[in-house]
Amino acid sequence: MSAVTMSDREGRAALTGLWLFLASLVMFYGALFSGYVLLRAGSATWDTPWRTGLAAEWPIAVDHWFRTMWLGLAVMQSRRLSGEGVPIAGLPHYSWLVALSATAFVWRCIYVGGWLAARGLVPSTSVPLACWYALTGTVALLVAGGAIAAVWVALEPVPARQRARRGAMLQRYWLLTLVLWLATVGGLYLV
Amino acid sequence: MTRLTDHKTLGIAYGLTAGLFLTIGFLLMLLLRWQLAWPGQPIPIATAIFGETNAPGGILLPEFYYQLVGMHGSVMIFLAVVPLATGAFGTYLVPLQVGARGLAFPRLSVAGFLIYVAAGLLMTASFALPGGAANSGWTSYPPLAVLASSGQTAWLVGILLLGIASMLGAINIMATVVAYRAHGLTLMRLPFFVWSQAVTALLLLLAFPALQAAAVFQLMDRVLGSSFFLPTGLAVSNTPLAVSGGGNPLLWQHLFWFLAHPEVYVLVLPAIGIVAEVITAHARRPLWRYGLMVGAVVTLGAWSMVVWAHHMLLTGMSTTLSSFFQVTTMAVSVPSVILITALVMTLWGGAIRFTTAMCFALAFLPMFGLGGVTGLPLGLGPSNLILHDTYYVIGHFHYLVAPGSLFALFAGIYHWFPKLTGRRLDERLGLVHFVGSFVTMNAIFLPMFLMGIMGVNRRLYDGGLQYELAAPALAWNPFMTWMAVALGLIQLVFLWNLYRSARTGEPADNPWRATTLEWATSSPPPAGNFAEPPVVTGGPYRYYEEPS
Repeated sequence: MSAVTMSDREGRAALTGLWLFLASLVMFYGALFSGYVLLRAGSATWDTPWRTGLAAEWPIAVDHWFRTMWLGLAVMQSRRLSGEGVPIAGLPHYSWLVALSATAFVWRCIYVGGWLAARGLVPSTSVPLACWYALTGTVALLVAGGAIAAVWVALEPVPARQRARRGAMLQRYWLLTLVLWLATVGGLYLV
Repeated sequence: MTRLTDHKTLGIAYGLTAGLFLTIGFLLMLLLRWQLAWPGQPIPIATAIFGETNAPGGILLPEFYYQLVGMHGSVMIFLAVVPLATGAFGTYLVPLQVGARGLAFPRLSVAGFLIYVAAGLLMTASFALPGGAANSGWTSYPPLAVLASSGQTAWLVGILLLGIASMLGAINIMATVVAYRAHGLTLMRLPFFVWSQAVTALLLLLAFPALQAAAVFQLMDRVLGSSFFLPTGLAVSNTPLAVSGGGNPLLWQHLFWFLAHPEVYVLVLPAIGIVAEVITAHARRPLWRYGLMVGAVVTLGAWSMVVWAHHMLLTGMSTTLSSFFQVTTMAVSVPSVILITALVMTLWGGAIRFTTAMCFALAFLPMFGLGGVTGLPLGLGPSNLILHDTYYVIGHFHYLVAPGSLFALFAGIYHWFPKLTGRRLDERLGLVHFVGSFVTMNAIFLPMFLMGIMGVNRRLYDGGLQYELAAPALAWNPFMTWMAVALGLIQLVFLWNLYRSARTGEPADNPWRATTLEWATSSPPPAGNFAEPPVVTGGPYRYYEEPS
């Protein structure tokens, strides 16, 4: 019988917990997205702000692509965070970068939401806009959660191995968030 | 707070809290039953408790009656039975049964419990809000729910919180089973109860998010004025609603039942797990075809996620889709039958001891069977057309949850009480409790099938008095109400037994000579559960090793 240390067990438990959490997130976002698909498929007309002149005034789609890049940056930094070879002293640096990128992303979400609301384009205006708010708002919340987690990983004094493990877990979270964001952008603008 | 990180303390805290909500849900039911038995008759002291706005002159107003309907279902399902089955039994027993020192993430489990308590308080306290509590039924169908009073908003926030609490609890259970099993405890050596809890945890993790997403949509409809569930041209009392429209009320039903059907299995699977443990220990026989049972419970869990739209057969779905859901619904009964058959076969040739725990476990089998069999006509379009939204549905569902799941939970309490306290519950009081509960539960719920077949609709304020066709069936209502009162009185015997036996009951360490791991440590278990890390060398049910 191979000896299993407590650290191995903790690692396995944490990884199991993370995968289950991510699966739960996928189901949550999947339910939101299928709601969007069902509503859009059942609608005779699907008026979107970017098809009714808004795009000329404010390139929301472009803004979203910038935010995609920010999110991609956060993911890349989180990869470095999880790298085994990254010295312990450098970790907070990368974590802050992740957190700042994520905060910028969330700030843009709030800014664009406020910009739309100031022009009367609120969730009550139409179902397409309500979907826009629900889907982008959800990803913004996930990004905000990732930023908080990145700061937590950076600040909590734990052994290097455990910190690297947390960094690797955080990376998976960021990858999923990026995938969900791409699905949102693709679903809202490309299809 | 620190003590709550011990899974045993937390399990008991879950049990006590869920028991409190169970009592609240039961009292709400008694009010409903009064109104159904004697429509329009004043209830003594109702005005003093609920105020003139809800019960003027002691008579329940229709608006208040529907708050009671909605909250009875919500409290019983979301705040009482599920937390009892998973929070109390799962949190207390799973670490012990896998030979672990505790849960994988103790602080997360405490957070989950506190969130559950907050959600429960929010939902029940919403009776005090202007307009009262949620009054659109536990299903909260829009457009009604979107237009309902502010209690519906509290209900939705409560559901979001409960989803988070369920997720934290489920992750904990799964991570504990995956990572903290004792040496030698392979998956196929796990007690069946652990399997049932693991499948339940997966169901909660994968199904609850759909209801959370639906709750987000409905919250946006209510708070931000969106129209996810409000169609174009909707008018209330001939006045068009000032909303954009363009939404679809059926979207809620899809998302709701994607959770709510698996939720039935969240109620039932832990119950089957408990009954399996009790039957095998009290019949002195290993579970019949353990591997087949594990396969059946996993299949049942997975299958439960593809049958949700049989609740929506009358919503105008296409015949292809309808056929798919009818077929899958019929097929889901196969693993259920396998489980029940295996439990019955376990009894064959066993040395059965008719303890109170065993009586409740044995009673579970026909009660669950009746609940399951009566579900088949509801899963078929033609019969569903007749029975939909009648008392037949109420009878079917309650047979699964009340004499079904609750009997299993009672069996579990009588079985594991010595593990919690080191003392046995009094058997004579226990048998009084069992016989009383068995008779009264059946007296309450069996007539519901008859009423439903006669065409009496559910959720009617006057119980159906306005319909001539219902008149012969309504004579059952006073009888059912008196039986409900008797059921409540019988539970006082149970509570007295709990109180007295915890103090002066017969000391017992492992009175059933059970062989699963939780009995390998002292009763009650010490901090850390086991003096030495246990090493497992065989299956969980080693009754064949006993001298005959």
